Amino acid sequence: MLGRPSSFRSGSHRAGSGIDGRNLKSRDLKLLGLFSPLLTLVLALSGVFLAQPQPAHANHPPFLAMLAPWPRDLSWTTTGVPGVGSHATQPNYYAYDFNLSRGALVAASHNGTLLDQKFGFDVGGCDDFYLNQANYVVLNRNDGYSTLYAHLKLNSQKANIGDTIYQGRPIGESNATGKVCGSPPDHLHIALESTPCVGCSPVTNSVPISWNDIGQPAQWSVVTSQNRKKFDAKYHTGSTWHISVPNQTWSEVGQWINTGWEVWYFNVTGYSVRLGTTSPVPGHDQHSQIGGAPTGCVYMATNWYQCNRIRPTTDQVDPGQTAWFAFDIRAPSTPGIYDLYLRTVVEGVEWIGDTGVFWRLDVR
Amino acid sequence: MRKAGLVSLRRRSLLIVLVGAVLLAGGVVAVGQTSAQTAQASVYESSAFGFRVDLPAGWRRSDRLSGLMPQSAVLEGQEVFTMRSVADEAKAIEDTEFLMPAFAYTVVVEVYRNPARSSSSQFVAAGIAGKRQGQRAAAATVDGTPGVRVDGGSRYKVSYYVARGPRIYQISYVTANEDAWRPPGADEAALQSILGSLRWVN
Repeated sequence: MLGRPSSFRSGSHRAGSGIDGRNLKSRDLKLLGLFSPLLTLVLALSGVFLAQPQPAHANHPPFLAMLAPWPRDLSWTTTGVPGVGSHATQPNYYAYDFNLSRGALVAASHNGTLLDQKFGFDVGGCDDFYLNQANYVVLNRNDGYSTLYAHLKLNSQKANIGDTIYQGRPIGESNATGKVCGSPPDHLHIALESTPCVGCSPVTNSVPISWNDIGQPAQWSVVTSQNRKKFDAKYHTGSTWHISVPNQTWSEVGQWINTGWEVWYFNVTGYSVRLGTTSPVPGHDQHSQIGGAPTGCVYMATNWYQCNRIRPTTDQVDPGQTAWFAFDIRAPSTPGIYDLYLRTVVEGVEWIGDTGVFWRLDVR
Repeated sequence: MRKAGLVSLRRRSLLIVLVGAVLLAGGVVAVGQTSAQTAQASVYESSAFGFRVDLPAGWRRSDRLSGLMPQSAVLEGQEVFTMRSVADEAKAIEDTEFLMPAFAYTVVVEVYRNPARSSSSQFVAAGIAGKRQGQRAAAATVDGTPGVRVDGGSRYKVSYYVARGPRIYQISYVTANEDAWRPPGADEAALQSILGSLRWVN
């Protein structure tokens, strides 16, 4: 603002030296004298208007493929929305606040790489000098944009810098570190922003967000996350119905997508996902009449991992990837209808994903 | 009619000249106030934390962003140096809840409690003040005291970490991603000169 009159004065000086003074008539000088103040006024006013904060990226389409930043099925209140209160101007204009209480898990809104995090601070309050004390995470989407999660709890980090983070994975816990006003002050501040360059502040101008699950919630609305679970699976393809002769062997491939945020490993306890036999036929964890491990099964011996388990063909299946389960089934010697129901199971943890997926042999 | 019109024109011109003069005078007064606030280079000594820095003309300690934090088990306090006027700083702080734009182009000295007497490199490795992908750490000294310089770390473009007795000092500056946040007249050379001027006083 102060620069405007000053620029004008230097501009006048340049104009004066650029025009040959001998050719100026007194009328011109009078006009210049009359209009200079007017011009000053116009420039000053234009300066006022130019200085008004304009939300950057106002016309940017809302980003999709984002999910609410806390675990699935939990509900929190939207306490801050774009353009209101502490989000009245950039860089926070398009940010949201949710009233996650202290210790509530904060989950990644999208897949990304952990770019920056600070979890060493333990203070917060409404005083301005707390502006610098918020613990935070910056998660890089690797498409030029990142999300910033702020006011997190001391030492509540869940991952390391450079880690690949899948949508839904916890990345910290809510708290009230940094400048937080309101009662209670606990909340999560989240903004989607241009990825900060190296050596730059973690805060850049925010851009509009539209979550796939909660849309663009209004202030004070209570919203429920549909973010990814730790373990989840969705049946993709492979189920078949064969008309078979007795003792005929069929090579099958069932495909399930890892729709959780955790990686499936073949050989890591607590992360091993298999296909397990389930109800109604042959029953939960029961041996099947049309397939099983090479030895030790009650009925049929084929090439399964265990009598009631089929393993994926790869040792690791990342979130979003499809796991292939290759296995043989063999028709018994007695004609009849033989079903095999399979479901994904995290060994020793939980059964996950779709039910009702089966293979059928119609033995004639 | 023509004469009356001329008189009217003269009055109107006089009015415009007067308005213009008032506006210009206002501008001069405003500039004068700013100059008076910031014309002199100065030295700021932090009695709480035992250091002093040279502040170039136009720079001051931010009373609003500096302070002791007795309620924190981690941070003892911070001193913030800015080129923004008090009014401009207040505007930058208004309507925000996190770091920017108030901290753009500031020098920040954060003082951490260090009862375990960790070294500066241990402190950096622990990530208490944050970690950023791609940050670079190298040995450095601050007024003769060995420490660690981190470039491109969390929050700051440059930070020096120094262990002194039961304290760790993080002496940093931050620029900004967007030109819109640059306080008028602020530049990185001034930030670097303030960092380079830091001296321990006890």
